[in-house]
Amino acid sequence: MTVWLETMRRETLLVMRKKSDVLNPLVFYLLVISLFPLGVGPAPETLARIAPGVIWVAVLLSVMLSLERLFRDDYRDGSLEQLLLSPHVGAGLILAKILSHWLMVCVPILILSPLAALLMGVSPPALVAMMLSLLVATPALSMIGAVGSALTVGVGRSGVLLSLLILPLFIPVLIFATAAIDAAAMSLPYLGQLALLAAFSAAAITLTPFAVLAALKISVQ
Amino acid sequence: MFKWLHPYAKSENLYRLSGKFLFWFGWLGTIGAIIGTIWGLAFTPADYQQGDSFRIIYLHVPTAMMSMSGYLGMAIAAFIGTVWQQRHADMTVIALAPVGAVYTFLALFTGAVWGKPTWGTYWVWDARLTSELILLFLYLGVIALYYAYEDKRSGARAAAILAMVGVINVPIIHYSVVWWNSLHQGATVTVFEKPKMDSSMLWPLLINIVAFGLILGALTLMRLRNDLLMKEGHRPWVKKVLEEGR
Amino acid sequence: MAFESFSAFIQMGKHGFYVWLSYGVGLLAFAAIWGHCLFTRAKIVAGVKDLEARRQRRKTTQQTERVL
Repeated sequence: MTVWLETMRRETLLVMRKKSDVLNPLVFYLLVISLFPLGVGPAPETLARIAPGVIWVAVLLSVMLSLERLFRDDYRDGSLEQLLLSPHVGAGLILAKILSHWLMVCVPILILSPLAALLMGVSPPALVAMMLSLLVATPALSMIGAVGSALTVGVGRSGVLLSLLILPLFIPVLIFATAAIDAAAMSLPYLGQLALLAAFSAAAITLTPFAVLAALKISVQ
Repeated sequence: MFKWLHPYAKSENLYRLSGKFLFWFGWLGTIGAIIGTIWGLAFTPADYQQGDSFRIIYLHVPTAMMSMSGYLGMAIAAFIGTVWQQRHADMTVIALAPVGAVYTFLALFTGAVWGKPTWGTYWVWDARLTSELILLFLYLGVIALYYAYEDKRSGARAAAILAMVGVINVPIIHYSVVWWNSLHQGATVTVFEKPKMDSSMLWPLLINIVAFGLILGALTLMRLRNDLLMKEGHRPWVKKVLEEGR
Repeated sequence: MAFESFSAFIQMGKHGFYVWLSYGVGLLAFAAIWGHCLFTRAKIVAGVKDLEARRQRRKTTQQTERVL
């Protein structure tokens, strides 16, 4: 447990030292969302119609952007190798690292989302559904994304490659999350979609740390 | 499992064995595909609804089915490669991926061309076409990851991990796309799912499915053999094998 | 035979373009990937033979040097 806390403390400290890693995806998130009204016109009914999809696509893209650095700096300064050599290494330690990524990137996105919803004219019930869907589905994004990040960490410029690897895997999350918001906007029940999203997250949390560990072992050789 | 696999872990044995399989797969597949295609194109009655455009089915369905089976096969090879540390299984993953990608592309292309006379437009966000499109991206991801690595052995192992992660997601993606499609039900008609096909139409289809599977295997084996020759070009067995003319 | 004449077979009841486009592209794709495999193989075999020839040359030079 102390190893867990120590890993998370270290990650937090690193982020605090280099705030741009966390702030840039957030700025990107709001920027992408503000581009859509400029592109399709500011009519409120159009915006409200496309809002769930736009917001979720923006979330996927900003999470993906932030993932590039998840293991990058540790790989460069050699601490990733130390981590893999340490006696505590295992799926749990990897989980701690990804959890801190979630706290540092996804939670701020979650906090900013009411603002995004305001820009897109989302109705209050849909906003609740949106927040809930973000809360239960973003862990899955962090976990799946970490696999892609671990696979590409040893490869030079990995930005485009990373998007090719993980965006297709994000598709189920996108489908069910936007469906939940759409259902909420039409005041239909959306607990089923949320339950599925939570199931994705649970499955991702249990399975992906092993894949991440295997991928990191390939990259660090 | 390992004991059973072990003799084939030697490159020379694998090369010779795959040569035998390649011969049978290649010839049976080619002959089967020629018979099935000519039968389907010229000797089956036209569909009462779609006329002769339905004959694309004899290319579309086999490539679509084999693109999915190919991904599954790739993931099985990846599993063997990762669990039993079989380097050749990782090489098989990489040998299969581009062939599977070509199959997926063909399934997409024929689906789109079939869509024009049936739906009046080349692309409809039909559940099957959408899943095939995503499958193409998954294949391309595996290929791109392999070629991004400078050390090809690490690249093959990384691609194997990605293939395994992908195969868990393929059914999830497929069913979520099907559900999404039923949610946004537009003007699409599910022409691909015939409740009953006449046996005169079904036989060439079955022949083609098997034949295209064999061709997928044959092309994969060709690529695997090339890879073996290239990686072990300096070894004596390569010289011996080439002198025998195999 | 489902068609009365060869031209009817080519026309496919107005759908000829779509059917033949599909099969044409299919054939082309298989030919391309098969040709690529053969081409790569020829290149690799040539490379191996080259290596072997060089090895042989080096051996003969070493031998002549020893004799001299």
